[in-house]
Amino acid sequence: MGYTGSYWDRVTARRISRRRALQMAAITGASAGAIAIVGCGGGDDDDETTGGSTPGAGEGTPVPGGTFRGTVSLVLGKDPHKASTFLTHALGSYSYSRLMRYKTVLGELSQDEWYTTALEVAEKVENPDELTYIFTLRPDVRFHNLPPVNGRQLVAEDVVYSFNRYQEISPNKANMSMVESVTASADGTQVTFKLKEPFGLFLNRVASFQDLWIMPREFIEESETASEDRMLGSGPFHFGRFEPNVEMTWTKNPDYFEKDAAGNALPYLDGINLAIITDTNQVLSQFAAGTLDSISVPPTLLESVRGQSPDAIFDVAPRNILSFLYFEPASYTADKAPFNDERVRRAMSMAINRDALLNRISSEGGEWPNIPINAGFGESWWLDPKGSDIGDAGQYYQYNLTEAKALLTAALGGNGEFSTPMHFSSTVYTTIVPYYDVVRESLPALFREAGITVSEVPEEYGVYITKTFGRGEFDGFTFGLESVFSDIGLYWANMFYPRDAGGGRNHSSVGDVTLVDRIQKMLQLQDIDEIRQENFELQRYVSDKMYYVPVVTPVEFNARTPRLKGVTNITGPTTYALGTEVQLTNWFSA
Amino acid sequence: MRQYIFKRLALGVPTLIGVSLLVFFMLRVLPGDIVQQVAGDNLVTDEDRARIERDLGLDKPAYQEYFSWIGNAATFDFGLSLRDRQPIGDRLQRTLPTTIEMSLLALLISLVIAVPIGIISAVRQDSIADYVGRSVSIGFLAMPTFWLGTMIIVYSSEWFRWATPLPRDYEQIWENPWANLKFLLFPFGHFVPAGPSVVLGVSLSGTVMRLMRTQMLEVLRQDYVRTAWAKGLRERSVVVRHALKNALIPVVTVVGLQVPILVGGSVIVESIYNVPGIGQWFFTAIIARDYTAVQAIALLTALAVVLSNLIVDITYAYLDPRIRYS
Repeated sequence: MGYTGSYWDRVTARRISRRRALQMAAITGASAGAIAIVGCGGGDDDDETTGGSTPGAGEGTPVPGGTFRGTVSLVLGKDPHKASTFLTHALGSYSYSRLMRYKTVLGELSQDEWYTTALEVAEKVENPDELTYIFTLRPDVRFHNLPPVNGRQLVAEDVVYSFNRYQEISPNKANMSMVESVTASADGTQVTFKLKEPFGLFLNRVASFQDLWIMPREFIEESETASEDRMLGSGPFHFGRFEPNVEMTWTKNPDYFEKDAAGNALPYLDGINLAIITDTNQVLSQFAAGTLDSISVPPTLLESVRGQSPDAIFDVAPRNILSFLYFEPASYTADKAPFNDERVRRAMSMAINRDALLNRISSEGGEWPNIPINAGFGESWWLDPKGSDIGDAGQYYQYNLTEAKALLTAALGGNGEFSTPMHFSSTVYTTIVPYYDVVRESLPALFREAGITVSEVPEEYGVYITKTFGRGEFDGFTFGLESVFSDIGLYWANMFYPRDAGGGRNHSSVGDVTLVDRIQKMLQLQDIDEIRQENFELQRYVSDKMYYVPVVTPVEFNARTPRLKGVTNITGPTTYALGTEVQLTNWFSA
Repeated sequence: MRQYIFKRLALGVPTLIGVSLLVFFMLRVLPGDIVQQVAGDNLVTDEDRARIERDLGLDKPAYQEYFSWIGNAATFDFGLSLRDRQPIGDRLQRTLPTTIEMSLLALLISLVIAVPIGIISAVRQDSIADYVGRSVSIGFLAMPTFWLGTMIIVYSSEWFRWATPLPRDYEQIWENPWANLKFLLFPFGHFVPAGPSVVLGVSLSGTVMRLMRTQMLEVLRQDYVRTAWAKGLRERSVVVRHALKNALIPVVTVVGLQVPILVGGSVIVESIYNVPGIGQWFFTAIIARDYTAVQAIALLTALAVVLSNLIVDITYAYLDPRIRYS
């Protein structure tokens, strides 16, 4: 299929209306499980951010009340500072707030605004110089009216306390390593962040759902396990109860500080009730029976779910998982053949028939998003691998066996054939990421066509995540998944910096000094357009070098009951905060 | 008999200690530790590792940890889950009765299905009833629980839009007996027996059914049974009063051995049916390398196996008066 327009034009031109596709849904399944939440709204022309938005056109006046019934497959802790997993952060957003968030609207949000920050607890941000950010807090933000905070006002000292705690215990603390100091003003209304060095995307980092959640000191210090027993912050919902393998619930915070454009209190919903269900068939049958309001639909089962639930609204969204091949670290650290040669890596990419893979995954097919960064950042930040903007490197994403073989012959001599182990996780991914097995099973056959004989090395998830993914102790190459990157800078730094200097997810220990230098310089730029352009250049560069070989990530489908209204336009990796960005404006029609 | 029970219980102690040692140390040498899982995708520095291990109480030498854990476990204090920092004992109180009840019901169902069919199959050997009974038993043996459970969930939804209750709807038998039995036996309502206990029971019944038939055939050929026939006793009396009791002895052994199989089956069936029991927890705990939770569940499972074997031996004495324990 030739290039005829934007990625989303092409996705939606075939079977899904573009209007629906662009009214993006929230994401239910991502790398670690299935948090099932919401789809899209019906409004067209509203461009206010969530807090101040009006209802989507044609949906009517929001009716307060009702409990949202969703599902989550896995709950791994309740303390967003302690957790590394996006699941905890996503769920924490029901009860906690942060200084800023990403922009969401009711209805359609143009792609150039997908990666745009919005204010939350802060009502103003000043940037007097490139190293200083001053956040003025809203005066009406109060913690939940529950002991031990009893509804007291959220003040600057709470932000400082939370930042210090985050820096002390968070596995993600490197994300904020550019911060020199955080101080509170004497009157408690302002927080000043001083940076060690300029960081042009600092506000995006502050808005990330994986970092600066504001947690009150009294609560944390109440007991050693307080923050794991329950959640208590200034978010839109009070924590209700958690029973492992049963459910997690929240009730409406009647004192939440945000209102809609008409001055009505948010959230509209009386509560959130997430059933903990691990089995996909159970999730689908519960939705068909009407006991769940919204679910994530595995692409392989889309037609079946449509048949079972003909009234449901199906929304499409970019899936935020990166699916990719990564190579034995010695390829880069010790110049070990064959993956030290970029021609071999390019050949592997060209041996992957991405269209065929997507068609195997779902009758809806899909495209090749998340190559190399998340498509969910929007076209202002992401280069379409099929588009002309990707430049010459685009050829390496095209399926071309002849060229792949020629590259292998040139790189390895002889007939270019070689054998290599392929590691992969044989558990967890296979159940929670519905397309993982389909792709994994197909890869050896695709590589065989190019003369690469693959011996499969299945690894139990715990072994995989620790040894192969975490420590890079493997030979040959690995087919793996990468969970959400909530900001552009995090992608580049994590994947390409040295492992002990911020490259926590540099699984192959890629040691390209030039690339690291360019990333550092890009992150120090102040002008967003300049950052954007350099980000494009870097995508072209890594597509050419093929340090990691992106595979495919199908789009995500969510089904919801037509009664669920006021659904925000969620834009992918930046907006996983379910409570504050996704469900704040949900309501049920009669 | 009492002396025998005490002796058997005492002999169970080394078994339990052996299991505890095995589980404790195997978990720790297993590649893939909880520290990396807590850190997620992030690189674990030595400093991070030390802090996380300190937080989780894993910073002491393994033997010290073991003695501390086994000492507390002896008083049924299993500590906190490493994953969610909640008391394991509290969760065991909620989940263990559920799994025990589900398993006992499954055993009961398997016996209700297997024993009558096994008897009829043997008494009417080579008749249509026998062929049907044997076919059914082979069919049950061939159907794994995960397949049968999944098919029931999928097709109930596809054809009737039926769904099982959600986990939150589960109530213990002493809280609401009807709701409890409905969850485990008739989850779709309509008195359709398609619940988790039924699926487990059906799978177990195949083995028991075949054994029951074989044993009955053997016993029915014994001299004392022939004598009973010669005395002109009615068939029912011969089969039920004279043959069945002896035929049941090996069956009881096999039923006792089903306990570990039931534990394994519960892991899958609880996930498929949303049963908030110990099996589902065991599965997620292993994946998450939640050492303390896995240790507690494994130890209790071993205890259940020891006790079930004891019960089997005691049942022998009831069934066969020639067996006397002292």
